[in-house]
Amino acid sequence: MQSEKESKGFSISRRNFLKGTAAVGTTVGLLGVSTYGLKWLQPAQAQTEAKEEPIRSVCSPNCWQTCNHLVTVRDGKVVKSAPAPMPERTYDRICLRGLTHLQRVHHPERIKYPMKRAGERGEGKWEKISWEEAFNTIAEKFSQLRKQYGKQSIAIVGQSGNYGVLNGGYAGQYRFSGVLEAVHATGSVDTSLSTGFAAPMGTGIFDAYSNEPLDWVNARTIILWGSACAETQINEWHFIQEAKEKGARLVVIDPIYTATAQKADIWVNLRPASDTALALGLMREIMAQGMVDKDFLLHHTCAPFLVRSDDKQFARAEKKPLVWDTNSQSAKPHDSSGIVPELEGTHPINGVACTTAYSLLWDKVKDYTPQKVAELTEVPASMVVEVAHLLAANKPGGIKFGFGADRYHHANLLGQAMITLLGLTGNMGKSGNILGMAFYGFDPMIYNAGWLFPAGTFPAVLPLMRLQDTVIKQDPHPVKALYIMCSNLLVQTADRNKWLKEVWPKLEFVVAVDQFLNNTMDYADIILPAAHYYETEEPVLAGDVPYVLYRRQALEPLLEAKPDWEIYQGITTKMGLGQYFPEKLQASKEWFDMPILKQQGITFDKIRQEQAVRFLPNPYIPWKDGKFKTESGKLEFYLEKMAATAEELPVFKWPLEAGPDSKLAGKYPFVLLTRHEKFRIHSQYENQPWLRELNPEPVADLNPKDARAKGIADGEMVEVYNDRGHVVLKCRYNESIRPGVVHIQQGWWRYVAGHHQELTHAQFKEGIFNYSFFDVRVDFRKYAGGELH
Amino acid sequence: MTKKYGMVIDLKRCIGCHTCEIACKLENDVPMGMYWNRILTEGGKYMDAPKGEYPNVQRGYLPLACQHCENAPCVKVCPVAATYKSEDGRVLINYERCIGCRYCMAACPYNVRVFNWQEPVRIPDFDYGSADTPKRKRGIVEKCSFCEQRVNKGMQPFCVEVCPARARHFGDLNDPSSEVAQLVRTRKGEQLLEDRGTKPQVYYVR
Amino acid sequence: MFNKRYVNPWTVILAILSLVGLGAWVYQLANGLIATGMRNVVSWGLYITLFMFFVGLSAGGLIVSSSATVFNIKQFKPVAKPAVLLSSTCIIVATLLIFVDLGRPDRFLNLVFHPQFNSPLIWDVIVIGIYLVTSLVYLYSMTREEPNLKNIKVLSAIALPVAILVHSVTAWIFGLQIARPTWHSALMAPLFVASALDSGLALLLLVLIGLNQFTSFKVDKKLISTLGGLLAVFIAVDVYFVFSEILTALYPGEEQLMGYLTLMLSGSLAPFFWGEIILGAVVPFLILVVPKNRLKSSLMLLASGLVVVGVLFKRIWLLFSSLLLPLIGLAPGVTLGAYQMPETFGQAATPGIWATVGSYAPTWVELAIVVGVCAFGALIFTVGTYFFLTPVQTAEALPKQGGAVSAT
Repeated sequence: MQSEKESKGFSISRRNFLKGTAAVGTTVGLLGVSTYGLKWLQPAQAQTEAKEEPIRSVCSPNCWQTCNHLVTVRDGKVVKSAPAPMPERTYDRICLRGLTHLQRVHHPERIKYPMKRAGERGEGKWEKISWEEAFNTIAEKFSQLRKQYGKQSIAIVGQSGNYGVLNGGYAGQYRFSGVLEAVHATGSVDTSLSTGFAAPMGTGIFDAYSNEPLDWVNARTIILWGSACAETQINEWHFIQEAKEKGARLVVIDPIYTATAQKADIWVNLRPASDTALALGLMREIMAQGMVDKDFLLHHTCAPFLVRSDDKQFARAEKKPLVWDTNSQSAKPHDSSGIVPELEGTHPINGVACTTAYSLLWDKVKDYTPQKVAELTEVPASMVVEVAHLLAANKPGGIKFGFGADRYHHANLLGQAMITLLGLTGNMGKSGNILGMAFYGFDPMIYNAGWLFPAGTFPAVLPLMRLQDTVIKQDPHPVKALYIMCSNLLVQTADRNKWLKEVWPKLEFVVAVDQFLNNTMDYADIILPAAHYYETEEPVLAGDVPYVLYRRQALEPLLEAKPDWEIYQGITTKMGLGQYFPEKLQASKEWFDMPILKQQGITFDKIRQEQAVRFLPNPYIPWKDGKFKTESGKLEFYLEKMAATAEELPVFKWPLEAGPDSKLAGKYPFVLLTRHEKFRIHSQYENQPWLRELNPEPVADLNPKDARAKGIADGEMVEVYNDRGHVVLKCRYNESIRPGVVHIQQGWWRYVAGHHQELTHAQFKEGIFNYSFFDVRVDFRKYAGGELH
Repeated sequence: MTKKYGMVIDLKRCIGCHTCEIACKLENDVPMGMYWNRILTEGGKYMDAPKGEYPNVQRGYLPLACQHCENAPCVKVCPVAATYKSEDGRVLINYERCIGCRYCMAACPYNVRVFNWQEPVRIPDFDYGSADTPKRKRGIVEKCSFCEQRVNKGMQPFCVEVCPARARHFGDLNDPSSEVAQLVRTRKGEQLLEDRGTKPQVYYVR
Repeated sequence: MFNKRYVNPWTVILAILSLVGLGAWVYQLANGLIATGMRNVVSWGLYITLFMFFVGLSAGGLIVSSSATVFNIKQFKPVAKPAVLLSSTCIIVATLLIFVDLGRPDRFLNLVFHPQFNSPLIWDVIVIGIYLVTSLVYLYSMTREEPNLKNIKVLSAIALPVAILVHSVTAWIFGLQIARPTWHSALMAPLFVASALDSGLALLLLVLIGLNQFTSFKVDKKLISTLGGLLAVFIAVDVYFVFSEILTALYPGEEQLMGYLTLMLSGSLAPFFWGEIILGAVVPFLILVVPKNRLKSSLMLLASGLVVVGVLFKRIWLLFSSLLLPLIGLAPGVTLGAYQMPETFGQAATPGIWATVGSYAPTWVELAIVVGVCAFGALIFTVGTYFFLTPVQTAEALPKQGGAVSAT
């Protein structure tokens, strides 16, 4: 390869040389200068001024910013990505990662063709096979397993690698698993906090419940809670900045001094996992000072609902929750006309003491005085008071959460506390409010059940984090085969050693689809090369932009790569189910056949033409009418269903490991935070040469005090370990890091030894199947070398 | 009046995301191992590390590329006028004339010039960016040109177009009504190493 | 006869070394300047260091020899010829060192076709051009069988200021740079001239002693002793300038400048700085101030050699003190400009490309080229010696021309 390149270089220079000699004489050439020179003597190169028409695509990993790109292709090669003009230009966007796509498309290490394992799993020996052989092998193996163990012996594993409808991890993948009636293992990330946050509104967890970003500029108080938005969702930052420039106050709640915290007016550097205590403290302060929005509480929330003391459910009449009407001094259905509901109080109804939800909330929070919160969170009491007053008095405002706060065992309670806090201050439905996160592609869209399940058959949906035990115990499904796509499973899920030592040996067959030989690929039996975003045409689920998105194909898949959709076609055709995977344009057209678009006359042709079409009002401000999607139509921050576990109202509990009360605190004094950084989206872009120039290797960021106490010098190799495993990497002194915390960027594929996901665990909260990646205790020591495992 | 192109970078807005840095690399076909535009951390010893002691810490970002100085030391020292000041105030390089003496690198107080020590390594292995980006070979110096191929066509430099924080502004400093001139005026634009008297046409506002 | 005279172990070794240097340069051409230890922070290295050094050596020799004529210092006249020959050789070496430093030597002629007269480098090209021509004409005039003394007087009157100028301009290449704190000084030109005088004279002494030892060209020991005394004076002047320069920089205690001074006084450049002061100045000065010592060839060799090495050390600390520290030294720093393709991007660590502080060590390619260039210079000088100083036919004529030179 190299010699070929060199000889080509030489032949070109020979021509230059011959051209040059006439003018310059032979000496220069003889000295060998001509091997790289004399361009100034050449005739000007023919100007290839052929007009380059960029093609509009969408970058769609799980930062969910779904940036629209203009992709320039020259001589069959991607040479440039640029931000595409959006219907509202304030949404024009791209980021450092998106700009490197040409390196993903033309990466020297891209998987070239389908391969089958030629050695042991993990050994990294591969043999090229044809697509025909790959499809046959997979179809035969799937058919055999289905016959032998049942259809749910196959698990389709997906994560967030692509928001494409046909080829991504959300829509088309469901269709595939539904047609196969396979286990569909997905989710378990980002779902705890949002569960608690969405439930009081009665929405789906990734529903369009927040004002759109272009309206955020009207906020007066913005709380970024566990969100390093300036690094992870870079293109949402400027809305916050613009709000700041209009006078908004920015509060950033994060134990780490992030680039986002750097921009804060108030940086709340709380102790990891103490977030809910802070939230309760904020509520207490707002309630104690009478700073609640009483009108909003009485009319748009469950605050006046009477809760029975016996079963902790709302007292109801004709299925309607009752409130205490101060006019008539009697309990009335909450939506009765002409009533003045009471906010606080207890009244007997049919002999059962009933108390308003508001009073019950006060009971839960009243002990969380600023002083107590200061003890729990290690944040000054005055700061707690200041933030509470900002949120309650400097309105409108809102909370944008990130998933840093989601990574602990009881994060759902924090989500519930956040939405309650916003309910108390009555920020919803107003311009300038932020409710958690802007997300417009999923719940308004994904209910296209007819498209998702065309055969009328369904997958057995399994929270991803239950997959380990499902395989190990072969219960509730006899999973024998994994089909992994849009996921670097062994990097993006917890307890890697359990996967490799307990799960993998039970698997008869593993298919993995990706563009690169990442370390999940290492353990597959069949590897299929996936097409890149730019190589496909399909609808794309929007993230934080209020548009229907569509990407055009910028170039044909390189090498032998195929879009997932074509892989589904190949496999299902061999299994006699090919009819459910029609041609991509047809499938795309059918996807858009949904009421929300039809009502607005948004046709497939229009979408395919314009590629970004607004389908939500401008500006999109939900809850304007104060009606929520709950049964009562009000914000039900009192969750009746959770009464059984005494979590009907937000309460503070330390999580499994990260809290100071943990049994492990003595043995493992450090909390491991593996947060997102600007150089990757999860594990994507990890091997991008440009990004690696900026961020060449994994490091353990340590507070210098902690490192010095162990005699570890800046830059030395350390081993971070706990009972589950270890990881070896360079240590870096970093004053951004809170003492007591070890920070490693998440998403790194490989280390000198071990892996950060060996340290994490997959323990879940019943009903909330969510990885608690930060709820992890570790210790570290100087790495003396020696045996690498 | 003749034009004097300049840039204003809003450090209050800059989040150190490196998007402009990568954009520059892409648009200008910059090879591996070098950047024309760098995002420096005003803080600790490493990229993104703050100064101070937790939690009393502080950090800023300083995007740094050619300052297109009005009184450009590099232009003065270039023995063959390969580096020159264009009429509209940009410091540009005639890559076909540069002899690779690197005197300009010694003369630049900002270390923004980079030399092609080796045959340029590109990943992927072809010329990327705009079709009319000037091509460079081994043995010559290169640097930020305010995206000459774009500005010549009336476009903005690519780093300005892509900046997610909307922190970069480009325009004619001689036109008092231009955005850049107004920003310099109203927000008291600062120049880097002002004491060196190079009169940069890149201003920073804080 | 011709061959016999010129081909001897000494010239053969020099020729081989020259060829090795040429080979290394071809290697450098094929691979680019990546073959050197230079990178974007330290973008000049051994070549430019030695360029400065050789310009100094050249100017020093010529200043001594031409002042002999200009100021009619009779006793110096015998050394005029070897001094001019040495000067010419050194300036050729200096020019070659610039040439090998260029990224695009094929465009060398751009210096002629597209000169930009604001550039001190162009001043240097011009002055060196004049200097070289003057030296060669001067040399030619002196070595003719019947030298035209009037011409020589005129030529030396030109050569003296040109020699001072050539080194001043070289100093200004550095001294005019606002970007480089340890270079930017009005004292740079006098300092360069001072070190040119001591190093040039010291090299001349080495050569004269060598000629005495190995050739028929003989110089009176008394003259050598006198020159030795002069060298002591030059050393004192040089040290005086250095002291003045360092004191001026040090006294205000300005933070940034202190960073550079720390490099010199106690950092990575300290061996060169203190090496120059102690080995290159104090020790030879102490040797030379004792008149008795100046009559001992071995001590003169030692003192002169130390002075030459000391000035070389000075060139090193002078050049690198400014280059090692970027004025804006924020993390992650400057991109070095070298890229080593990793075996795979999927591995734990990929090569770093950044530096906040420069580092430099010459590679074997640079060393080979430099050795080659120096050997080539020595070869020119040797051949020049045969031609101009000890021509076969005119061996008897030497005393006539040479004044105090002994014929035996």
